[in-house]
Amino acid sequence: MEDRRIGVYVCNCGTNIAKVVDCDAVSDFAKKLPGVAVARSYKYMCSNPGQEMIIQDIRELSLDRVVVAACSPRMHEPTFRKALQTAGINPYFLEMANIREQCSWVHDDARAATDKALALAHAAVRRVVHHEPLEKRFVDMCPATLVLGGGIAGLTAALELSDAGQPVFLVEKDDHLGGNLARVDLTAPYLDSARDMLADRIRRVLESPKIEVLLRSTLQSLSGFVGNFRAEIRVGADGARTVDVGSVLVATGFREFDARRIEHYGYGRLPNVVTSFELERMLREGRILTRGGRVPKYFAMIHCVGSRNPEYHGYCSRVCCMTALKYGHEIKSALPGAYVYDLYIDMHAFGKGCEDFYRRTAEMKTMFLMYAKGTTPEIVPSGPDDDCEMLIKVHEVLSGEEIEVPADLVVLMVGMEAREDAADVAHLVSISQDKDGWFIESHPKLDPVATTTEGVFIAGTCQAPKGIPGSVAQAEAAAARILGKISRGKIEVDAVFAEVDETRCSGCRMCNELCPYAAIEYDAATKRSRVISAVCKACGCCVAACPSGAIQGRHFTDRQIFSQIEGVLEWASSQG
Amino acid sequence: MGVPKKIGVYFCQKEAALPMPVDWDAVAEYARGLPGVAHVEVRSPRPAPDPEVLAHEIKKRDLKVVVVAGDSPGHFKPAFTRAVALAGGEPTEVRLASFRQHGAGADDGTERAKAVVACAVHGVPFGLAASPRPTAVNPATLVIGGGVAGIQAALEIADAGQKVYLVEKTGTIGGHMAMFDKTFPTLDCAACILTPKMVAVGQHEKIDLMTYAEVQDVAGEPGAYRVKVLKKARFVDPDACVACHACMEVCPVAVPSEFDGGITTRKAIYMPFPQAVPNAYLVDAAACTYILSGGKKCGACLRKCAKELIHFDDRDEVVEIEVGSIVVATGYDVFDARRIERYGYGVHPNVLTALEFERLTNASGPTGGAIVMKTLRRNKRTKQDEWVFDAEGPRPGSVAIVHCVGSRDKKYNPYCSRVCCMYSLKFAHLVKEKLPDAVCYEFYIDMRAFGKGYEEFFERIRLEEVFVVRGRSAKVVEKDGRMTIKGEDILKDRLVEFPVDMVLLSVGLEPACASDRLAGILGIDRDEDGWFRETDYNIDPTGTERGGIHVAGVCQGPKDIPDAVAQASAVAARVLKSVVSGRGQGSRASLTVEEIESRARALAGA
Amino acid sequence: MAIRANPRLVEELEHYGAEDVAKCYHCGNCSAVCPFSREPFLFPRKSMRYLQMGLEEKLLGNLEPWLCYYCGECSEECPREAEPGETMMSMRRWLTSRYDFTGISKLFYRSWKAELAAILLVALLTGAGFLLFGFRWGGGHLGVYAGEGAFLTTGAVHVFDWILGCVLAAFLGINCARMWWFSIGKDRTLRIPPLAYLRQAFLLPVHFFTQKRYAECGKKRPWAIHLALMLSYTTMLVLIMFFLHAMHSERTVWAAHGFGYLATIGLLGTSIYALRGRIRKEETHYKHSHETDWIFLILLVFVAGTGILQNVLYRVFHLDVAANVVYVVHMMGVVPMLGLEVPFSKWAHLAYRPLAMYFSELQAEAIRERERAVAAAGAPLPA
Repeated sequence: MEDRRIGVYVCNCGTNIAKVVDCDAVSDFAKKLPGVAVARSYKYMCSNPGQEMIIQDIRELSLDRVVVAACSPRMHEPTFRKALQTAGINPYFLEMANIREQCSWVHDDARAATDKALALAHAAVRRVVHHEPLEKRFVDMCPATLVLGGGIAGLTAALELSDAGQPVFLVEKDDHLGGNLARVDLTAPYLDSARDMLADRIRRVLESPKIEVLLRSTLQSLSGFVGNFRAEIRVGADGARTVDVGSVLVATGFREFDARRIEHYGYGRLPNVVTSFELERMLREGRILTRGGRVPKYFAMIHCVGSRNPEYHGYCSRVCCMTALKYGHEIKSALPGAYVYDLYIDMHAFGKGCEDFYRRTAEMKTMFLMYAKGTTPEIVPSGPDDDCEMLIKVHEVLSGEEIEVPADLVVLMVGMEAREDAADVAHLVSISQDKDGWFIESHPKLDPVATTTEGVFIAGTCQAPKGIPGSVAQAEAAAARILGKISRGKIEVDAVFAEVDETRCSGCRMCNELCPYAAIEYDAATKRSRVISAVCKACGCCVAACPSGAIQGRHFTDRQIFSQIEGVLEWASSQG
Repeated sequence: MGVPKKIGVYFCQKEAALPMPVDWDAVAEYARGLPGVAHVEVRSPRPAPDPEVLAHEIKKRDLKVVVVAGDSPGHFKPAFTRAVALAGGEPTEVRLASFRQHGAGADDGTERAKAVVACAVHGVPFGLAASPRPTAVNPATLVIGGGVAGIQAALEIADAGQKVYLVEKTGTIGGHMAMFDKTFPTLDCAACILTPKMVAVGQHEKIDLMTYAEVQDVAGEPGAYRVKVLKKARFVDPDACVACHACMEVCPVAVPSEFDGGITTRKAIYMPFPQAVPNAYLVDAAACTYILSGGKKCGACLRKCAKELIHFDDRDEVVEIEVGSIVVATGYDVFDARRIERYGYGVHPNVLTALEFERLTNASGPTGGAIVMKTLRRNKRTKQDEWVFDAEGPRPGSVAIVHCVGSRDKKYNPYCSRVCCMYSLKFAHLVKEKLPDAVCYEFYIDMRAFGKGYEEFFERIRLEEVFVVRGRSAKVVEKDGRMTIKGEDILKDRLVEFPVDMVLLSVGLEPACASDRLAGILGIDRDEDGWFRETDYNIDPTGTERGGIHVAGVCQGPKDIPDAVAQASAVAARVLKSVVSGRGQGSRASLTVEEIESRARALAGA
Repeated sequence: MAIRANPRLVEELEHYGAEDVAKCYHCGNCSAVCPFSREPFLFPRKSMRYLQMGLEEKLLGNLEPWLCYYCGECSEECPREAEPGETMMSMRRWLTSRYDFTGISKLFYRSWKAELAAILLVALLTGAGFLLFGFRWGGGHLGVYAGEGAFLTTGAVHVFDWILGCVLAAFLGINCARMWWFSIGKDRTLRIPPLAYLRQAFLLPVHFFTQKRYAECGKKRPWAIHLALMLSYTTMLVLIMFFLHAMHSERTVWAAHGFGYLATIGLLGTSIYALRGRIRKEETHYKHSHETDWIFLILLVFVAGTGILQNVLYRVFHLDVAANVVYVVHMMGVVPMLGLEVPFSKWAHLAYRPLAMYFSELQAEAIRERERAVAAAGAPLPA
């Protein structure tokens, strides 16, 4: 085997790795391996001193291969590749051994974990020997952006982009812009007019020469790759549009929880049990009446309907508490004599100005009644000599009493849930959903608006429940990402992809059907298949499937993989 | 607009602690002169408007449109909406003219208020009519503050190929996040997320990093600001220093380490922490014997440094830079727990603040992440006994975590600090993880677990057998020789007294100490709690009254890391938009009432 | 059986001074800092909760407001400035008005004008009464203070005292009985052995004469003031009811008058101190003042003042006429004070507090007994 000068670097990741794996043992072990010129362990490899250490060694000890035993390559492979580049060797001469996610985080037996770490390190060293220099390639970046959803997030992003002079296609399912916010009149905690802020945004969008608004439209298909997407859009009943865009922003928003699902609240059955959105409409129209046409005297707001309850949704919908307080203010203004109760679990008044709003609501003598998480208040008919429509029975935990409160209108503060079509959208733009159906960001803190598919971004309540400020901030954040890409003109695509050896390809076309990214095309003339490298995600399906072994994954060659496996086995056998 | 509508303008004042600087009568007088206005009325705070009565008036006066004006007119709108409905009018024709929302809190309150009313009367959103004039933009950007928000904003902008100056007060970037161990709710380590970003900033060819520096003065116009930056003398050349630590080893002076929240000491010549960016030493002029003695004493480091990088003749210098946009990301300070005596912080050695615990439990902290109690130790130099953390020290058998310290309290900070609930739960988890046998109590009022995956994290903590007590603990007392925490367990209807070895105070967030001064320099507003005021709480959470100046992160109001990062990126969008298009935004203040009114009129006509 | 919540109660209690109770967000701070709060009586939070929710029945049977002495710690530490201390005070006023079957108390607390009017009326009646009966029985000369032909014979006054005393006792007795009914009698779940009543009876005099529970509060001065006022008042009452002859005798009987003067000084000093406090608003328990607080204090100062003046006129200057006139004026203060304040207003707490201590101890015993029983039955304790 070629003689290499390999550097092995073991990261303690604070205590994340070191608390289970004996990192020094790993580096000592690595030192003795054939071809290894140097092996060190350090607290934070990804930090400045850590990277400097690697760069210096490469230069001074003229290393030509590097193994970093640390976290998952998903986390920091780019970081260390950059370090190699800085040091002046090909970034693909790096191999990472994942001794955190696949070792220290999943094992507690220190000895066994350390053994595993040694095996992984050994495997990495064996593999890196066979790494070949690969060159990154650049593709053009189409400046246009496809924005899915005409809610506050979509509108905001579209405006940011168009103001920067970039073309935008704004696709809205409905026949009007505004999304869920269009159903809202005032916003908590300052009771500002949602209508004004939407009117403002919508007017700007409609007047912008850069934005093409497609109402009653849906995305049919999305092909291509970052910088070079092609979207098929159905417009209205029968129209169709095909647009080329460089980026896609998904801002499809949420739908409200269906209160019917909690049967004993009797929504749909009891006439005066309404959802928060229905009360919103009453207030907006100034007609606040019971089904019987009476002016209600007692209002009961039930929080967390469908939220914070494992039976329905475990998560908190984030905006309902403040919305309920808002209704408290609105009701007392519209009906000065009315009484308002809030049946809540925890009062989530965390935003700017919200705690103050909560205090002022209390000062208005709103009656706050706390019920226990996991339980639900019960709504029963009122007696003949009661001056109310219904009674709400609840175990009030702050007093420890079983109580009943008179109610004329029961308002269910319905939470947010992922839209029914979220799964289709996710599939169309190939992004993933979490267990609750929300779209998953590539990293909650590093990268809250990007997704695992490059060039596809998410913003607003399709990512998770959030209020207007949060949605707006995310939309602008996504716009920033897109503008960044656009302003750089060209974008880098990974040098790792599959290649067909045309001399060995039999043209069986098995790979064509198999490829999940439609990255393989068949050349009828030459009767050979070819991989469109920019589209290829290097998943390896075709490599494994090709009956004539004509397809090789760059950076995942058989040689590399086998020597990695040998690395593990050899170590195991050496232990007897 | 067609036929002139009959418009009624009602001024409704809220009973507020500090009333708006607005001359109501002047505004009312102005409103009378607006086209279509048939009735103007200035109402006193009491009594609150009665819809029935209003309906009668509206009918009598045959008003078609009602404008509700005031500091926060939204509080009165529902009454008017219902009144209009009762009068058989069109409820959608009730419009708001909110002074607070549209920045009439500033000095030119009355003028701004007039403009706001004018827009409402014309039925045009204020933001639309009062959009500032476009300006030319200098493509360079100044980012003030090197915390995670500042770093994120700087990187976003620089990665798009634009010039960024990043000014940081301390010797390194990283801010508070660099001090944390794990981050909720995913528990991935803060360093793993932050340090690569810090490295990227340090290496970025488009970012001019100025640490140990402060913004002194801002002159010029939106799009073309001239900024004076005071670069304090580091006395060590940051580019040449290789952080060999030789100087530090010989330095005799020890002062409390800011980075370790004061639970350890650092030398007078120091590097804030091993992964600091720039990864270089600097000298604390306020502590250095050589400097204080005017070069007569010490100078050990000077002799020690092989590369001769220490230059005590360095002086503070003021550099002037020209930028088009400014991003303010100055973050926060934590609440001083000493202010609440009953928690005994500073009296009982093992009552710790959140930051102190973050450092204690941090792998790079004084005990390498071991959670120990302070032990009394004789300091050889000062010959005094002092409480210190020793990696081998006794492990606490019981830990109490107290929420809302200094937050949600009218005597201290009335607002919710937003992050404490979650980081307290994180603490509970860390305690349970590192000391499985330790008893852990969590005292809370409302458990504000609102973010993605937060509620699930709360449930997980319950499963880890942390005693979650609903009820704000009242006080920490000495009882038969043991530290004891007292409180009411509301759900169990019992008074509880737990003897504990350690108490963690979940201190809230406060505006950074210098933010009032900075607000003055930048000419931007602060809200009643001292946070920088955004142009619009909902749709412009990052803009300020001053064109080209944006706010990001906690300095605008408490938020957690994901929200701060998102907001920082959002600011980047604002900056990039103006840079890419070459058109920036001027200040609203530069628009006159007449201008706004005529624009509104035009927009309404269009 | 669920209890009905009533959003109106909070509004009603505003008339009694509870203006901030709605602000409370139940952090539990107050109950934990309160020096008097201990199981099974945790307050003030729980009581405030009952009030917020309008659980009228619960409040009516609730003795906790009487266990609170308003040392003010809870109000000082309250993060929402919900004034728990003042809320408890207001609940005491409300309870007083509910114990009183005549409804007069309620009238007084809800309208200070009514109370003032009543006081003036009684004062005038008293004056008139004296003029009428004074002459007839004593046959008296306004110029003669004591002995033969005096304007008022001690005997007559004494008779009047006792009649008034009995009427008051009757009123107060009935109210106390109602207090018992609401807090103990009504609650079927509380089983209190008759012996317990005897065993605990000692609590009444102890708490009445020492107010010792008040002393448990961190601050000692308010307790001292309160005790001094209370003792002076009682001394005066005893002197009037049992030693009136001595008090009225021409020569100074130090055995009686000595106490008299001490008591008067006590009354005057403490009530002036209280007035000053309420005007300055420095101490927490003086920050908020209900109209009835003012009326009561002013009345007290008036009575004590005129009392002293009358003595000075008679014993120092021997001005019988003036002394007699002032005496009548004095009595025009005393009678309404005793006749109205004791059964219907602030002074009633003289009786209610010790009773509350007594009843609460009985309750506590019964509750402990019940819990023991439940525990024995193996059922879990009510959380």
